[in-house]
Formats: sequence, C-alpha cells, structure tokens
Amino acid sequence: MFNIELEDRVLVIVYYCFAGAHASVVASAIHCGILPSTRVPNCEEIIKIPYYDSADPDHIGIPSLMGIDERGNKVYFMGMYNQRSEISFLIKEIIRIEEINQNDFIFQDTFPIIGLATKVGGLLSKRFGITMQGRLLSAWGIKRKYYDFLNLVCNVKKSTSDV
Amino acid sequence: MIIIYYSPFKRIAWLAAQTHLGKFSADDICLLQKNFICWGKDRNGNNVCSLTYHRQHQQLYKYALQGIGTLFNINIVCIDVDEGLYRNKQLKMWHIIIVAWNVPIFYDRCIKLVMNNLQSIIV
Repeated sequence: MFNIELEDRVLVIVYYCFAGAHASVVASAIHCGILPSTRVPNCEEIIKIPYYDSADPDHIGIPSLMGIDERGNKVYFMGMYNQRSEISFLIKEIIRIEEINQNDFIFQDTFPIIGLATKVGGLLSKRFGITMQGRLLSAWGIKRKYYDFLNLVCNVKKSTSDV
Repeated sequence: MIIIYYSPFKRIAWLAAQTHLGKFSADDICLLQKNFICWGKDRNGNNVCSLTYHRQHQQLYKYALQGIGTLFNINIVCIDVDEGLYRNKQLKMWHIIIVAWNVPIFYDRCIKLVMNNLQSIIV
C-alpha cells in the first residue's frame, strides 16, 4: 500500500486590462470572493471593492495582489495600457525561457469585456478628475457586463482545477 | 539570469544582444516582427534577449519586468542600449539612425562606430 499525499500546486493568476483600475480589479475581486458570483452587485458594492478606480497612472504595470482564492492561488491584477499583447507575450516568453512550468500561472485579459460606459467612466474619473460621476458610470457599465465577468472568472477557475 | 538589451530601435537592440553573444555581424539579423527575442545563452548561462518598445512606455515595461521578476523569482537585468551609446560623445544620433534604419549611405562607417561602442555597454 502506498500512502501518497498530493499537495495542491499554488498558481499565480493575473487579470490584466488597460489601466488596472476597473476590469481587472473586478475580475480578480470576483475570483477572490470579494464580489458575489451568484447575483449582480449594485454600484455601491462595486465601488467599495479594494483598488477600484484607484490606480495611479504613474504605477501602471505593477502587478498588485487582490487576494488568495479558495484553492490558495494568488490572484493579481495589473494594467498594461495599449501594450497588452506585447507585454503578455514578453511575460510568457520570459517564463518559457526560464523553464517555469506553463501550468503554474494564468494570464487573463479582461479588457475586451468592458463596454463604452466603463471606458468613458474611467476616462472621466482618471483623466478629467470628475471622480464621483466617472466612478458611478464605470460601475454601472460593469454591472451591465457582470455576467460576462462571471463567465470569464468561471472559465479561469475551471482551468485552475484542470491543472 | 535574463539579460535584456532595450532600445526603441529594433536593430540596435538586436545588435547589442548579438554582440554580447559574440556574433559580430549585422547581416544575419532576420526580419522578425517580435518585440522580444531571446537570442541564446551566453558563456555564463544567462539568457540574452532584445526588447523593443516606444520610449514613452519605459516605466510601464520597467514595472512589468520588475513585477514578473518578483512573482516568479527571476533575476532580470535590463540595459538601455541607446543611453549607454550616447554616453560616448563620438557617437551621434544619426549614426544610430543609419544603423537602425539600415540606410545604405555611410552604413559601414556607422555600424563600425556603433559596434565599437556596444562593447563598452555589454555586461
């Protein structure tokens, strides 16, 4: 008889978007259970999540830890401006070169999910300083696309359980 | 360790990486469209790469590289090739542009100058 103890592998999951202020923050918050996965939250709940609409433009590119999911995986979010495909390629290449197991990480683009309302809201808040209205508009946009976020996170979680 | 040679000019970054690896030729550079290329390992086992992006994104890439280095415990060194080249006063912007854009006029003279200067910035 063999007594084999299987140790769960801890993954690094990075959700990324344009500025790391809205889409990636919401997706990582859903992943960590900060936002509900069975219903659509209201705007206030969305605005209250940590780091929502608070990314400093001078610090875009830094991966920030949102939390740990139920499997112990580390969930990060980050902004990549309009360099999403270039930077994700760069990161994947570095990981390949360093011979790190390809199953140890997941990079997920969240930017294609968000609609015009969130983009305009983000612009109003971050570029023009109309913070309150911009934040509300972006959260309203997130609400409208919330089921797309749930699907995305569900697929990511499914792929982590396949590893 | 990963050593990355950065320049907004693709060919300059490629040249620096090739010089590091001891391949002193600009002719065998293939026309790859990728912004990041790993050219191989040097004698010390370091991966030598080239990276190109617009200088306005410098901070973004710096943070992303630092972040990925921390997340996966990878030692990444990024060298700004142009900055290193300009330190030498005998090298002017137009020398670099002629090499970077592969302009036939004065090419031989410029590539010689650039390659001589590259030696001083190779880690």
